[in-house]
Amino acid sequence: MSTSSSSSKKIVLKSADNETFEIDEIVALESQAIKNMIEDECADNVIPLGNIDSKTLSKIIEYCKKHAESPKKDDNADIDEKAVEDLKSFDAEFAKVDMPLIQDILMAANFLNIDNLIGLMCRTIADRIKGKTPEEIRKILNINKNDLLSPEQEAKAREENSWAFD
Amino acid sequence: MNEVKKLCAEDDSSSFGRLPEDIVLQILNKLIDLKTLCLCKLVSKRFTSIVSQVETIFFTFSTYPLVDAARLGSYGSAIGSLMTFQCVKSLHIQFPSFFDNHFLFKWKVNFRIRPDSFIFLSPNSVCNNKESNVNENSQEALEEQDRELTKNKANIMVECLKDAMMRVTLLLHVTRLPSLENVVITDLGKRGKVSLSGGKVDDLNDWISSCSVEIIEKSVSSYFISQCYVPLLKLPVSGYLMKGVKLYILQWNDLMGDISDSIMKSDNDDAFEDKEEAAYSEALMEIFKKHSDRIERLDL
Repeated sequence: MSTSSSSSKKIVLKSADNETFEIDEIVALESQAIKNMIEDECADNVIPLGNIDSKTLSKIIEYCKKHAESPKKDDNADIDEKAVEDLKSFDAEFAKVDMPLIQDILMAANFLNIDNLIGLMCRTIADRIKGKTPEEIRKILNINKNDLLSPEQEAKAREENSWAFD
Repeated sequence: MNEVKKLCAEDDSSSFGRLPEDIVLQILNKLIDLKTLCLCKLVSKRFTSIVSQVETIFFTFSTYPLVDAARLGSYGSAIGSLMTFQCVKSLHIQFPSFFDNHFLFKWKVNFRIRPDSFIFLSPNSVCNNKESNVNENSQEALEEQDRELTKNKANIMVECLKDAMMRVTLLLHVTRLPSLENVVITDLGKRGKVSLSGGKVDDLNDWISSCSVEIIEKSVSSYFISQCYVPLLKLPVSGYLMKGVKLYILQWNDLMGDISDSIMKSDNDDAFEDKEEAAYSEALMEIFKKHSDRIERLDL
């Protein structure tokens, strides 16, 4: 089966844990990767997303739905400020999740090529590590112990950047 | 399913380790604050290597480093750290407010290849054009009041000039960053601005590399000063009215060229941060357009 006929307005996404999500095509088009698949007519009715679990995928669909509904900036030069504010507060609420989920969403958004969502997740992570000590940042981001600097490297970096610890 | 397992198993178990490098760079590019960026160098090996690629940096001085202009006091190590970010394109350095708000004034430094002029503009008062009722009789009283203020303004101007020289020194230093495209040095009170962008950064670099330190020092140690007083200045575009406007211009340019020509040209590419800044720039233009006969050179 192919979705190439223009009458088809629904897209089904299948998560890694085999959950299916039926969404409007317009919502799916928020993803540049899916958009390309549809345009190249290589998308089946069901698009399997083998590296995105259902929890992450439902969050991503929530985001895409909201953003697909909102008026686009380039559609209209004077979109009303209320819509912009509304979208801003949606984004702020959307980002109030724990760090593992943020990183899952970020990985998935990167795979699906959803620019705005990548930006939002990067900003969220940046905001959470601002003003934190290196130790705190490691903990927040769950940095692997194998990636830590050697004691010598760390001592040197501490000395070179000692002013930043004041 | 297999794909998921494969992704998780890749390199390490930490969730952050799986984020691709360009995404980590996007995150670090949003940090902007120099202090945070420097602390990131200690987080992990991967952080150390990616953080050095950031393109935008903001650095705020917590105290005024005016004590030792050449070495920037205790901020040498901070500036040293800054210079390790070789990919930075956009740099904003901010100083704390140096003056309290008693007097109204703004200053800036213009560049034409090299530092060209220092401009200090100070009105006694600024008010909305529509609201004000200008009493013609008060003009004399106004000028009397201004004579008292003039001495203070000259003193403030000298302090601002020292500040400007310190910032120019800093600017000459940071323009060595190879990818730098624009740099702004401001203060919290938005009193003074030293900024360079686009081709002017390259022009300044070419000039620095083409001459010795002695020539650079000499070129800023010879100057002449002009002053101007306009009792009442209407600003049709921004809609303000400035009273008792004092203007000082210090030019390092040894060519005795037309002052206004130099200022007008160098002013064109400046974007205004706010309405207030736009009003001061308009005031400067108005003085050159309509009151250039009032500008007089001072004998030093």
